[in-house]
Amino acid sequence: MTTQERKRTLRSSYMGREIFKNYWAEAHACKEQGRPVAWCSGNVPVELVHANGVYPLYPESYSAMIAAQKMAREKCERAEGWGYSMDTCSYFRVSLGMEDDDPKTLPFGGLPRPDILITTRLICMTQYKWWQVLSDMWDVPIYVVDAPYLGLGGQAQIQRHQEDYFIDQLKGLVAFLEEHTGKRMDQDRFLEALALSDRAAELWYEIMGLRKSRPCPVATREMVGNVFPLVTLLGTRPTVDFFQALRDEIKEMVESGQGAVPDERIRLALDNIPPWHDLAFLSSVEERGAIFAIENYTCYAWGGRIDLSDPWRGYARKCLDTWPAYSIEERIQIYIRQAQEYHLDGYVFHANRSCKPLSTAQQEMQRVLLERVGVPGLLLEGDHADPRGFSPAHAQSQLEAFLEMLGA
Amino acid sequence: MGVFWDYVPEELIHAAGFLPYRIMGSTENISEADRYMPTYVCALMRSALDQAVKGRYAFLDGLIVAPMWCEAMKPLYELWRKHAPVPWMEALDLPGTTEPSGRSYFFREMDRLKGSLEAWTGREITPEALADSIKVYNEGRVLLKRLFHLRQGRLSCFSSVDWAQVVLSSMVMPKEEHNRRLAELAKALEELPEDEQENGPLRLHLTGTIVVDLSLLRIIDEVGGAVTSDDLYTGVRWYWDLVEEGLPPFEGIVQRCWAKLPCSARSMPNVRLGQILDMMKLGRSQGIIFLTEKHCDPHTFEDPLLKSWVEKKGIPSLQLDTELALRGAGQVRTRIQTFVEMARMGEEK
Repeated sequence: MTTQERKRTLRSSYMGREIFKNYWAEAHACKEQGRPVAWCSGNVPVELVHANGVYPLYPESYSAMIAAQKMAREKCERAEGWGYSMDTCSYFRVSLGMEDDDPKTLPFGGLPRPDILITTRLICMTQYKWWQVLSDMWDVPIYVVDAPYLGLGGQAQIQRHQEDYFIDQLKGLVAFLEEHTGKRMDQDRFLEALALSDRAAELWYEIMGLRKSRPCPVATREMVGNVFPLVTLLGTRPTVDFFQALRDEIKEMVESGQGAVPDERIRLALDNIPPWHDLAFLSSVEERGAIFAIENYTCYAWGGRIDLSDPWRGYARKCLDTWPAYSIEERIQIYIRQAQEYHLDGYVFHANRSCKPLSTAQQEMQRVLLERVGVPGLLLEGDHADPRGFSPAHAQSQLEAFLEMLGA
Repeated sequence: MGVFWDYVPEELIHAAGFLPYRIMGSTENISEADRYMPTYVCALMRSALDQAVKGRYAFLDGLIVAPMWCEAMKPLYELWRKHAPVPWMEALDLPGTTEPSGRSYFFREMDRLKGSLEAWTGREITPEALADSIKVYNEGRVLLKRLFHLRQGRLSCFSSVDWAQVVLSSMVMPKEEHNRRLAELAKALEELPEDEQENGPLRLHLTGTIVVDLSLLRIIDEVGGAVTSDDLYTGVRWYWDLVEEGLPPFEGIVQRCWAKLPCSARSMPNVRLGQILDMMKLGRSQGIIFLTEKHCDPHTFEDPLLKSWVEKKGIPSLQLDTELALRGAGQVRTRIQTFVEMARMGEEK
């Protein structure tokens, strides 16, 4: 998230910053104009929400921002005081813990109340239960987009009946949205949203590809901020414009051999959601000539190409193709390829206790990567939003030892 | 045949000629699994993997893990397959919803399981064999329900620990043999007079995931309580619903799994509230103990909500954070004892 104010490497990242600010501000404007606002959990098929004229708000992203602004701890503690275990996802605790806050004290005036709630099981069960708590709190209609689990038995191929099931779920979401807006979804608008989403993904993948260059033009810390429109604003024009500008600038850097870090010697990858409460941790390696060149968080969570010749099927495939759906073996295969293509020296696994789907297989991945291709990994205990789950001093010394081992 | 979690249809396994054996982890210390799984995964998953890696399940010919909507279950399955392979293993991808939209997917996946089992054994599982297995398993369920009711008036000779042993053993013993013993037990119980109404234990409902550590139940018995109803995955959710015998056998088996008291991971909390209240009525329960299994998201999210709802109804409740194996027994005893005393005082008012 582009919130911890810091000089950015890229001019166009400031464009992303504007999109980010407008996104929260516009939510309030919508509410005032009577346009429905939906609170959506991560990976809710956002193109459909936009295409139905409903404004999708992502409390998860808001929690990440609160964490980046160093405000998460008190919110977590408040939610715990209401009986919620410290073991529940910290995005949830941060979000719940803001309920009694005066909106004026919160960034962008807090979140406007939801008119409807939408969640999905695509990436985790946590959201499904979190949204039930919201449903009780706000007493508004809720829709759950169910999703099959892929990757059983080590095969991640999406089978046709799984696609069919998910297409039904998507169409159910459309019916739910239509019921709420009282209007039929405009098919042209839907197809346009898919085309814009696909274009955004195409640009995004190109950007990710450019980061294979040595030196790497842009590091993880900046890209986990720039990924924001891929989460919330897929299917809209400004996202495409932004990614185009970003791509152009990064391409230019690569062509002129410019890197984000002077004297780049060590290239790392980050596995898992970043610790939003301490993004400086990620850039701290740069003083030693190291860079986080790539991260699975921006590559395999949101966005994806859509086969527009078969829109519903293409859309379903895109939605289903996400990191939590991959088997452990598939994740390892991806990293073996990635390590080679991005010239990586090591992996930093953020063992994020707030996110089981991303964290449970890390020990296995770490071990196998070392055994099979000799790429070492460091497992760091942490949490995506709750700073209490992360010990900066301890993590820093572990990271430094790791860098030393890699020859920094 | 190992059965991991309560959506695996036992009748199918039985009809294929195997003994269904429910995997419930162990109260033994977890030592090996920590190499593969972080400690913020629930103790059941970690313990099951731990036992598997230690070779404690070496007697298994096969293993079925379901459902995958629980997000620790998928890595468990993959890690188990890799580090302690069982000759034949299957996992089920069941829809995580009770909405009608998921029904045909649910049936399709169960059908795939049947096909996979048949392909492995090289033997067809016939409708006749399924019908016979349904009879055996329904008989077991009917007997457990009968005992559930008979016990209600005879708590003095049938403690919470005894009852848990009866139910838990039904998950691992040969069913025909278990049914015979249940019938004997029911007969013996019927001959006993009912307890006096006065001075009985405080009747409690137990809600949570699975209870395999009997020491927790022993504490409840010892401080003047008795578990008279539950909605546990090692309790009512396991045995309460029957297979409808009028349907084609396989359809009946799957329909039972589809429609039975749902796991919290696929249902809204008000569904569980309904189960709790219904069961409390049958058990004439006076209070509720929430056993919130650490790191089990459906329950850690839902329990504070449910607790606030039952409090509004004036039902005394206690919430305990638990793990597969009881920890801090002294403190747990004090809390349960205090709760039992407070609830009694409330009753007397």
